Amino acid sequence: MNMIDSQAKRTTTVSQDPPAFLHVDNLRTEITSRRSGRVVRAVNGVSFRLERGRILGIVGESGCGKSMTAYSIIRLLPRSARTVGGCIELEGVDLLALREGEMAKLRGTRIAMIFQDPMMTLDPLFTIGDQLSEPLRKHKGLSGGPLRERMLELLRQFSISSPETRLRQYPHELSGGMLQRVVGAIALAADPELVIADEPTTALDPTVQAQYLDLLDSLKKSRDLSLIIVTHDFGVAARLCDDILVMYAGRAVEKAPVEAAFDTPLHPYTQALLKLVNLSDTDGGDHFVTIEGSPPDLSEPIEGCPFAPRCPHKMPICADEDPPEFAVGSGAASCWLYSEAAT
Amino acid sequence: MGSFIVKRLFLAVITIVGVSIIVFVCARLSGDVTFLLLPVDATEQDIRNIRQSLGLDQPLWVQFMRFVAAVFHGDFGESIKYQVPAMDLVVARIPATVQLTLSAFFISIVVGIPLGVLAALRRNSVSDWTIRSVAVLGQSMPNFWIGLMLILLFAVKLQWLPSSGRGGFSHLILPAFTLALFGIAAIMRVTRSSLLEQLDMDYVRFLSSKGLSARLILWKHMLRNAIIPVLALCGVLLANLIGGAVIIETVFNWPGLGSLVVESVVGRDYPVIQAAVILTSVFLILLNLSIDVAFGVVDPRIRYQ
Amino acid sequence: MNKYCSWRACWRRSAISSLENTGHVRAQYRWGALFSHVGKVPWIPIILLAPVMVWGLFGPWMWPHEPTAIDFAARLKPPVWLEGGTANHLLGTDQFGRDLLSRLIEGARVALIVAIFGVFLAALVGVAAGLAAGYFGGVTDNIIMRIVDVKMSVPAILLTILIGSAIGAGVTTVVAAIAITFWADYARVVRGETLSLKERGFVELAKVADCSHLRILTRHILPNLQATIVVLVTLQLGRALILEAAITYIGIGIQPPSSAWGLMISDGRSLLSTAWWLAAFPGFAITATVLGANLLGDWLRDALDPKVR
Repeated sequence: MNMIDSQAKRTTTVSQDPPAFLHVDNLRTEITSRRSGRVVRAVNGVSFRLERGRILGIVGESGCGKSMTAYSIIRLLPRSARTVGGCIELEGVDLLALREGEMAKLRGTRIAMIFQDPMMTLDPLFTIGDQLSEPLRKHKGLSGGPLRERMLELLRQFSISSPETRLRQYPHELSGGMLQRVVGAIALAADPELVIADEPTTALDPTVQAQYLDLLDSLKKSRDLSLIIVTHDFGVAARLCDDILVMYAGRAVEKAPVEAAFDTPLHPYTQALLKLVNLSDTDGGDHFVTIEGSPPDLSEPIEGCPFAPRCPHKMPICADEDPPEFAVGSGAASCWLYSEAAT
Repeated sequence: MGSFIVKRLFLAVITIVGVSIIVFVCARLSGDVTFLLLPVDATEQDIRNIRQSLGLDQPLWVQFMRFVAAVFHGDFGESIKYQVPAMDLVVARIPATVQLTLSAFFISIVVGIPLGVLAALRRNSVSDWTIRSVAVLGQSMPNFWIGLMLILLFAVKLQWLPSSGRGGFSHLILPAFTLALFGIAAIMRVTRSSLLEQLDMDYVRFLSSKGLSARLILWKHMLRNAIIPVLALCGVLLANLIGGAVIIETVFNWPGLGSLVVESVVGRDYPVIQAAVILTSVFLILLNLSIDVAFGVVDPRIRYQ
Repeated sequence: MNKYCSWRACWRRSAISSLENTGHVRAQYRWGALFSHVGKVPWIPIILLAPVMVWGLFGPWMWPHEPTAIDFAARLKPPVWLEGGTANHLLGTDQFGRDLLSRLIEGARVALIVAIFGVFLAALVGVAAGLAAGYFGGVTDNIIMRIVDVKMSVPAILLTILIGSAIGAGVTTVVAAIAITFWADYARVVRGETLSLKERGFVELAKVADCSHLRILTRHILPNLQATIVVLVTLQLGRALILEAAITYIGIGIQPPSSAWGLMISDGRSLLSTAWWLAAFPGFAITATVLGANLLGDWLRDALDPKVR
């Protein structure tokens, strides 16, 4: 009962606002284990809004459902996963209500995706040129000379050296950083407005990471893109994002503009995470700090706040009732600590 | 790529040497051949003479070197039963076996791959379940028995097809199909699982995120990636089909290498068996070598190594 | 070898294992999981394997007639449900009037003994070779893997014929053939798992603690391979039965007057047009047993390691 109650509250708070570019409301995605048949509630009632030209960072530990949220939006979930509820509106169009064919028309042209490991993202058996030409042929109807011109132009935009040679090369012949640029060029070939990047720099060398983030930032400005960056790295989020969404156990526990999220974190989980980052930074990262306890098993029903067992500010109510979202200052947190502040 | 081929070639040569050691050892184990060559009333002197002429008085390693040298020249000795060079007997039977094996191989591919694709695309449907069950059942039946049952049905009861021998196309149907059953099941299983594996790969999701049609992704990208394990299977499959042909040829009285070998083992005609085993193995080793090279053609990751 | 060659090797190996129905079996074994699987008792394999087990163990108390008893008065009787069949011979009789059912029951014992001996011998040799290759690596590994290569490049049936022609037909040949055909599978799988186990903490610890190689192998590595070996043995029992029948069918296996199933099929071949049941029923017996072993192997594989494909 409590859960339904709090979800109802969330829904009402969000829908009072004016329509956004992307509006995700109470999204729920489940993964069914093929063997045991157990259902894991990977995304459990996530809501957020994204305006045009903004960058949203979804942060959290692995297994918190941040990637599943990303895949749910573009509707490219693994076979074992399924979105079971909520709605995803892109400029008023409910993506979850579209038929697969209609959704396919939006992919590439309106929503694009960049994956974690560039080595695994491209088909190893085809040349870069072949894979870059596919969206241009399909969505822009280009062929022959103009197609080639456009491909070279795209590669140059992504600061890829000697683009003529690249077109003839196979993915395994390029370095990771170069490949991730190529992936970016392919993803943006048909001028999408929303790009979802799942850990786009995790597989890259640290030096290349920074370059790639700068590239994304400049592209965002020149093309008026909206971006969703899924990352476990607060550094990446701080550098690039305008807004931060912190996820824990399949829920959005905190939403805030980037400065607020880092200066005055609201949720105890965010506070704990930031303390970790700061500690390991000052120590040179050579000693291991962790938040005590471990995330809950998402295949079991959770009583109360999912973070309660690990929370230093735990109150009696936390164990019984799942906190709704409370607006605090420029941000919002799902935590009972802010219950007075909200009312 | 060049050094890759050289390395494979080197391994192939070692393997061929290994096979000849096995054949040589088995030849020694099979007992004293002199008794097969001499009349029962031969004297001690006769035995010594023939041993000397055959080189059996030499140390083992000398005998082995002679054996290898002879094999290298295609000289496996004379068939004890037919009194002609064993090599000639074996070579004469090769076309029939090649015809049977290649037909079965062709059937396996042409039937197995589409069935595998169908099962993967309609996974967990009735057709997937049926295809997989038949494959499991098929792999649990001895193929010579399936052959006999097919003879019973199509040759004895219905009288549509001849039950044995080699002749026109109608003679080929039953043995080739029987032999292919195993291959169909194997190819189908690998195609299905390999294609299903592709489904959850990032590159497939990236292709979808580009907005390409499912049909293009399947036929252009996934099938080509999925076919690599199937190609790897082909070498193993041909080896299995050649082995299976030995039995199937016996069932259908197909005048190939297999029935020659079975006939020879009953008559203890060792030179013929020797020739057949070594020739088959060399063929298979070279086949595997060329499949390795073929990988380089399909998969650019290897080509540039 | 560079990494692309080893990819290729992986493809080939996975292809081989799917072809040979051995599957890929992982190191972690979970005997405990067997109990959580108790809710799902593998009834189909049990039903399929029950006759051969019971017949093999209690044959002499179960057969309606002496399997070798000749009765010319009852020659070529069809099964009971066909015209001319009698309840005295449920599955009919052969050209000597021997009872087919009784002979099938006797054949079960032959099948069991030969397949089990052969597969266990194969496991013994193969596991030892795989352990040595994986654990010691280097030259040992190279030599053993080259021998595996040689074995793989001669079709099993030709190798059997080679052995048969060397040591003559008989039960020994069949057992030897099964062992020689199947040892390489154990060697390959065990080698692979030993290689990965070797990197694991407890083996490193044992080395630091100055355990002898033998002790590390038998106390630390081998116990972790139990599940793998059990699954492989089960799956190979079926294949061994088929190989045994094939060898016997072409005349270098078990010899008359034994009632091996392969022999019965071979005897039935010449009477196919007049007494089809002679060749048909032994085949059904083989199929049921092999299917049972295969399904049981699959079940074990799933039960012992949920991560296996």
